[in-house]
Amino acid sequence: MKRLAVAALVLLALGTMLLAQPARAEAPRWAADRGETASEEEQLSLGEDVAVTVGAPAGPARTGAELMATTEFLAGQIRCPVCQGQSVQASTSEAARNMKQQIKALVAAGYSDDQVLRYFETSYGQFIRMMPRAEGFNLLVWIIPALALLIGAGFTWSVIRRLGRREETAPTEAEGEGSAGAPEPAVDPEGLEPWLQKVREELEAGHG
Amino acid sequence: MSRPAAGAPKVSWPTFAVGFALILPLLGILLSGLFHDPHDLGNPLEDKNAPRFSLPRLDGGELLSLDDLSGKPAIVNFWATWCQSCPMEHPVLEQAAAEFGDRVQFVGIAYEDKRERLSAWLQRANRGQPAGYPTLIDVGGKAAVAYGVYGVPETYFIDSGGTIRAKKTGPFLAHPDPQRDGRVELRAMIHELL
Repeated sequence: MKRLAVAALVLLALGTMLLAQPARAEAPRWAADRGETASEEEQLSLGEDVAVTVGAPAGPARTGAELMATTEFLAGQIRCPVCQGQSVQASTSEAARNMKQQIKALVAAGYSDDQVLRYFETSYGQFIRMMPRAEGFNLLVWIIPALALLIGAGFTWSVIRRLGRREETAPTEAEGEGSAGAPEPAVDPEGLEPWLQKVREELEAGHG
Repeated sequence: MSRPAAGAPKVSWPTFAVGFALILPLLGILLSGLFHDPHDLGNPLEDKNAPRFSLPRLDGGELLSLDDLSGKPAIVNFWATWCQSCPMEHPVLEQAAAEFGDRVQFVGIAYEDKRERLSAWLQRANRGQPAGYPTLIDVGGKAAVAYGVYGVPETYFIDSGGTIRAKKTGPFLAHPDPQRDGRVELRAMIHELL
């Protein structure tokens, strides 16, 4: 009975997730079709200043699967300006759809990936790139995580080494107790030696 | 039993200094982020040539291009009927267009909007009177991308030589306090263009 109830709950959860999936993929109503629908000619036309901004197309015109794949790739590299941390590719907003259409028009005209990215960067600034250029102050974004990883690894290694050394010194002290000579000064990382010395003195005073 | 003198934990000053030197700049970056307005993304086009456009007029006239405005400073306002603050900004712009229209060309560019909705909205906002400046429709958003529009309203101040001199993100709103009055701010920005 209990198993049946659990199975029913799991099925209910899965069903809810499956039913919710298409709704998530749909564009929000407020974002869809706010503006005039661009004609095919308007969709393929380029902004008036493209050539002035990034020069003539670097390569031949692209079509078919190559055009679609490059458009998708570049749309993933460009930030949607009206969204929260989403790329043009991921967003369903009208602004993102318009930008994606412009990426497609640029790629179709033969503009290289770098030219397309530079075109958007000229007007929006570097913020429009999902991944900032690895230069100047931005280098910190790459350097700091690597540095933190190195420092963390170094710290972990030193702690492990210290712990290992302490374990090694423990039997040495035990062996020293049985011998007649003075014990070797042990490593005392925790600063216990003055306390131990005090105890020894008090014990000796008690026996005498 | 009295406490022995020695035994306090030892501080590794070099480790401390290295840790401090690494954490301090990060803290500085985080702190500077706290005092930075996330909506202020700067204006990469400042002091650069204004992107050209050639867009259809809402009133059904011919295309209007930036070249048509040459010789006169221009104020280009990207707006939309669905924008919350644009209705409040509209009278401020109309008032400024009436005051400076002979020396400065005002242009509205509708962003992600439809002709019928825009016409009806303007008819209502201007109470049947003719608009003080033309509104153009940016179908497909090419002009908005060329100007780097993040949201509406955004207003660009272009000098008579076609160079973008300033950008205002957000609306110019009337306010009784002159320090916060968008009309005063707009006038000051126009005077800088002239």
